[in-house]
Amino acid sequence: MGLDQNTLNKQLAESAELVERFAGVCLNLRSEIELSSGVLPATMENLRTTVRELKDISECSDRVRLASALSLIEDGLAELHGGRALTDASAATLLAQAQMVLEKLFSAESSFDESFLLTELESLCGQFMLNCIYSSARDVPPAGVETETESETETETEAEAGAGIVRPECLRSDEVQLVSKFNTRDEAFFLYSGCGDSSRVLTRILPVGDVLIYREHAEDFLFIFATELEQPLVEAIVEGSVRLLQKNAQDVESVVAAWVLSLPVVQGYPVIEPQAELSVGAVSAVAPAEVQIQEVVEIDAPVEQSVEVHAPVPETVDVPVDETVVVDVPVDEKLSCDSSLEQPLPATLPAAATTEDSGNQENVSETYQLSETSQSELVADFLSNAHRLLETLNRALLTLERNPAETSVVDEVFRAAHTIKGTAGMLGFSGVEKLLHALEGAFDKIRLGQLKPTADVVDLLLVGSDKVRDLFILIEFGKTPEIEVDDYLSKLEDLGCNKAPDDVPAELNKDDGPDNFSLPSANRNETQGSIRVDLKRLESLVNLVGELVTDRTRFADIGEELRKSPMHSDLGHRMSESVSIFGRHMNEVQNLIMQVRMVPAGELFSKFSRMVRDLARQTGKEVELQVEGADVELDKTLVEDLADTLIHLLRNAVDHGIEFPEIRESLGKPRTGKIQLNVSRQGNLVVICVSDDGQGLDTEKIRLKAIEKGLAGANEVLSRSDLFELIFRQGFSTAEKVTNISGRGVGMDVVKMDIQRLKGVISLESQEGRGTAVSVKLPLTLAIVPSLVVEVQGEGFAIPLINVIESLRIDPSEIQQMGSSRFFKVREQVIPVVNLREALEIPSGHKETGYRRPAVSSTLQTRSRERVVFVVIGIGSERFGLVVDRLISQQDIVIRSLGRLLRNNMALAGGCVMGDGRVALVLDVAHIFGNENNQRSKHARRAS
Amino acid sequence: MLEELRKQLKSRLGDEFTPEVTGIREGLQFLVFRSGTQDLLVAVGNISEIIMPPPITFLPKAQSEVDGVIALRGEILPVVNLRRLLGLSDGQHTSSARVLVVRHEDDVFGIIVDEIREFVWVGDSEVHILKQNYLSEEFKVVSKVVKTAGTVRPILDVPTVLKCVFLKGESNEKAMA
Repeated sequence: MGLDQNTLNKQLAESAELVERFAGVCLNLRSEIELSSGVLPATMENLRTTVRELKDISECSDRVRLASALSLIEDGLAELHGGRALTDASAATLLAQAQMVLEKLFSAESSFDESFLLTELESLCGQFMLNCIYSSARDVPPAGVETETESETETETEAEAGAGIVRPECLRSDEVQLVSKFNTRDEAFFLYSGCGDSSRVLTRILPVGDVLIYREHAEDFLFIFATELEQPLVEAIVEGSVRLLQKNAQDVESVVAAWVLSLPVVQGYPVIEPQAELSVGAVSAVAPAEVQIQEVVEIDAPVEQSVEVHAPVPETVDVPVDETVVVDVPVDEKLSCDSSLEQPLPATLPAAATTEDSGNQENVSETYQLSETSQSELVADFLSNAHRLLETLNRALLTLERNPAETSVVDEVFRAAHTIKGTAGMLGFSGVEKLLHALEGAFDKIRLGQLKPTADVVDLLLVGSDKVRDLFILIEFGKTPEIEVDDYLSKLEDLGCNKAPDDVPAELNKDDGPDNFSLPSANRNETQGSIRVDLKRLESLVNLVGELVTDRTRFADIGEELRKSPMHSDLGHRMSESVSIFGRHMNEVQNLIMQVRMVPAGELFSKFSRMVRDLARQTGKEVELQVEGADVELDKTLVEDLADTLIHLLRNAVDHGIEFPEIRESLGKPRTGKIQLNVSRQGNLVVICVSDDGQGLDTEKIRLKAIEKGLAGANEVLSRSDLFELIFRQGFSTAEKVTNISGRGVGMDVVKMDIQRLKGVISLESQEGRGTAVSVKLPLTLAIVPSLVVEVQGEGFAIPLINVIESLRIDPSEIQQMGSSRFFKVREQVIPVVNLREALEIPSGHKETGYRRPAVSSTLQTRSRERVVFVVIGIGSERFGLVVDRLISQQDIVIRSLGRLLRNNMALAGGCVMGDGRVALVLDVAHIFGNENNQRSKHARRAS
Repeated sequence: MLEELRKQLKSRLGDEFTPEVTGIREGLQFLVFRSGTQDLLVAVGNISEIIMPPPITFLPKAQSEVDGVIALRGEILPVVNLRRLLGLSDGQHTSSARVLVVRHEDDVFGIIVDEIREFVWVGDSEVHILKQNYLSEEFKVVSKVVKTAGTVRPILDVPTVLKCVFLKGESNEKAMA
C-alpha cells in the first residue's frame, strides 16, 4: 500500500509540473501567433509532447477524466499541427481556454465533480474541429479536408493538392474522395441539417462518427457524416432528426444541392461558385419540385428541435430520472450533451471568434450558477426524494426498535439522507441540512453499537423525522424553511453524550462543508428499475392516447372507403388489417398506462406502523400491527384518499378495540394485542379489512345508546346487523371517556361518507370479547367507473353500474299511467318509471339537422320499438325505472368533468370519451329522479 | 423560384395554417372564415386551434345554439353552431367545415364554421366600432366591423359569444329565483 501511495504522489508531482509546463508553452504559442502570425514547429512539438506525457501519467494513475480531457486537447492540437485548423488568434484563444480548464480540472480533480469542466473542454475541442472544417470549406490554404481520423501525412499532401483549386461541382474533389473512401466501409451516411448553433451538433457527432461534408450559410448548416450507429441512436445523440443517405457521391451531391436551393438567399453563398449552381440545376432538374419540397420540410424540423433543446435542462449532478431514461448513451456522453446546452456556445466562425473570446470566458463562471428554472426543478426533485427519505427513515426506526441487531437498515437511511442533505445544502436549506446531519450522527452511533435503540431513543429520533417533514412541507409551499431546531439538536446531542461521550463533538459537528458533494454514484442504485413520474404528465399521456383512438377511427373510415372502391379494394383490405393491428397495440398501450397509475398498497401502509406504535405508547397498550397484501396494487389517487379512513379505523381499533395488557392477561389473552390490516383484490374490487382481537362491540350498550338518542324504540327488536348499522349514524359513540385519540362522536359516520364518496361500501362485524372487523370494499380505481352504456335516439349514455340493479325488456303497454307519473310492477314491487328520452328532452330524429353525423344505429332502433328496455336503478334503498331504447354494452369508463361552461346541466354527472372518440354522457341518476317527481313542467319550457 | 417552392409547400400542407410572420406590423391578425354565406373575422389571439369536426354528441337540455359536446384530447368541450347563433340557414356540413377551438380566459369551447378562408392583417384604422342598435338581434355577437377594399366584414367577439350562449341561462335562473 505504502509503495502505491508513493508512486501516486510521485505521479502527482510530475503531472503538476507538466501542467505548469503546458501553461508556459501555451503562452509561448500565443505570443508567437500574435507577433509573427506563424508558429515555430518546435513550440508545437513541445506542446504536443507535454500533453501526451501528461495524458500518459493520468492514465497510469487512473485519473480517467483528466486523461480523456487531455486526449481531447491532443486531438485539437493534431488538427492544428496537421494544418487542418488555422493557427490564428482564435485558435490560440481556444487553446488558452483549454489550458485554463485543464488547470481547474487538475486542481479540483479529487475533491469535486468535474464533469462540467470536461464538458467545457469537449465543446472547446468541438470548436477546434469546426475551425478546421470551416477553414477547409473556405478553401483557405493550407486547407485539407480530412477529419481527425486520417493520418497526418496523407492530409498534408492532399491539402497541397486541393489548395486553391476551384471546382465546378457541388462537392469538392476531396469531399468526393472522402465519400468514396467510405463506400467500402461499414459506416452509414447520415444527413443532419438545421439552423442555429452548429458547434453544438458537431460536438455530438464527432465522438460517434466522421464528418464528411459541412456547409454553413448564415444560421443554417448541414452535416453529412458517417457512423456505425443505427439511425435512432444517432438521432438520440444529436437530438434531432437525421436522414439516412445512399452511399454514393451522386446522392450525397444531390442532397447538398437541394439544401443549397432551400436556402432563403442563394446569392452570396460562400462555397458554391456560379458554375456550381448551374450543375445543380442539371442534377435536380430531373426531379424538380419533389426533392426540394422534401428538403424544406426537413430543414424546418430541426428548427423546432433546437427550440426544444434550449429549454432549461436540469443540473446533471443528481438527476437519477434522466439516468434511467437515457440508457444507451454512455454517461460521459450524456453529461456532455446536457451541460453543453446550459452554456450556449458562441458562433465559431473565425471572423466572429475574436469578438466572443471574452464572452466565452464569462461562460466559465456562469456554469456555477443555476438558472431560476433549473432551481425550481431541483427543488421539485429534492422534495420527491425527500418524501421517500422520510418513509425510509420511519421504517428503519421501527425496524430497529423491534430488532436492534438489524443495522442494515441504517445503511439505507444513510444513502437516502446523504442525497437529501447534499441537495439541501446546495439549495440553501440549512435547517434541513443541520437536522439531517445530526440524525445521521445518531444513526451512525446506533450502527456502531454505541447507542441502544430503546423506545425513548426511537421516540426522540421520530420527533426529529417529524421536524424534517415539517421543514419539507414549508419548502413545498415555497416558504423559507425556518423551524427552531437548535433545541432539538442539543437534545439529540445530549442523548449521544450520555451514551458515548467521547464521540459526540466530532459526530455532531453542525456545519459540515462540502464533503456531502460526492453523492451521485451512491444513490443511483436506489432508483434502479423505476422512475417517479408526475401524475399530470401521465394524465396528458392518457389523453393523447385517447386522441390516437380517434385517429384510428378516421383511418378505419378511409380503409372502409378504399375497400368499397373496386380500384383499390386490395389496398383497402391491407389498410383495414393494419388499422386493426394498430388498434390492438393501442389498447395495449392504454392498459399499460392504466397499470402505471397503480401503486402498491404498501406505500400507504408504511406510515401506519409508526402511527399504531405511537398510539399504543400513548395509551399504554401493547399492540402489534400485522399487514398483509402490501403488494396489492391500487390506483394512486385512491391510495391518497383512503389514508384518512384507514387511520381512523386503526385509531378506533387501538383505542376502543384492544384492551389494556393487564386486562388482556386476566382474560387469558396474550398481553400484546393484534391488529390485522388485510388488503386483497376480488375481481374489480379492493377489499380492505381492519380487524383486532380486542373486546369487540357491546351490543347491549349500543342498543341502550340508540334508545337514549331516539334512534330506536325501547321495545324494538334489533338484529345484530341493524345494531352495527347504527354505529355509522352521525353522532353515535359509545365511548364514555373522550380521549384525544378517538371518541368525539364524529367517527364512523365520516368514515362511511368517505367510503361512499370513493364509491365503496363499508361493513362491520363484531363479537363481544373476541374482536371487531371492519371491511371496506372499493372499486379498483377512482378514475375508471364500470358503467352500463345505453342508447336513446342514437346517443350513448352511461349509467354507473353501482346504481344499476337489473335490466328487463318490457312491453310499453304494461306501464301504468297515473296522472303525469308512470309506474311499472316488477316482481310485486311498484316502481316509478321515467322515459330517458323525455327526461332529457331529446327530440326524436334530431340527428337529421345540423352538422351532426347520422347515427350508425338508426336503423336498428325502429326494429325493437315494440319492446323497450327497462333499467332498474337503485339509489340507496329506493328503486326507479328508466326506459331506454337499447343497451349497448357494459364498459369501464373514465369520467371527465363537462367543464365550467356546462356546469348548469344537472342531469349529467360528466362525460366520458368512448373507444371511437365520441363523447358519451354520464347520467346523474339521482338528479334525474329527484327532478322527475315534480319538475316535469319546468323542463317543457325548452322544447324547441 | 424559391418563393414558388414555398407556395407549393404551403398548398401541400393544406390545413396547417401557420401564418407567416413577416416582420412587425401594425394592427391585429384575424382569421377569416365563412359561416353559411357570411364571411366573418375572428382575432387570431382567441383561437387555440382549428380541428376537423369530430363526432358531436348531443347534449340534453343545452342551449339551442349548442350543437353538443366533443372530446379534444380527453377534455370535453361544448360546440356552438354559429349558423344557428347568427340566425343563418341551417344545413348539413360539408367536408370543408372546421371547428375553431377558442379560449377566453379559462373557458374553452368550439365554434363550428363552414370554411376557413385566410389570415389577414388588419390595421387599427380599418376597424370600425358599430353602434349596437344598427345590428339585428342575431348579430349582437358582432361589435366591430372591418372595412377593407370596399367590403365590410363583421368581427366575431368571442367574449360576447360566451356571454350570449353559456351565461344567459345563469342570469335567467337568477331572475327566476
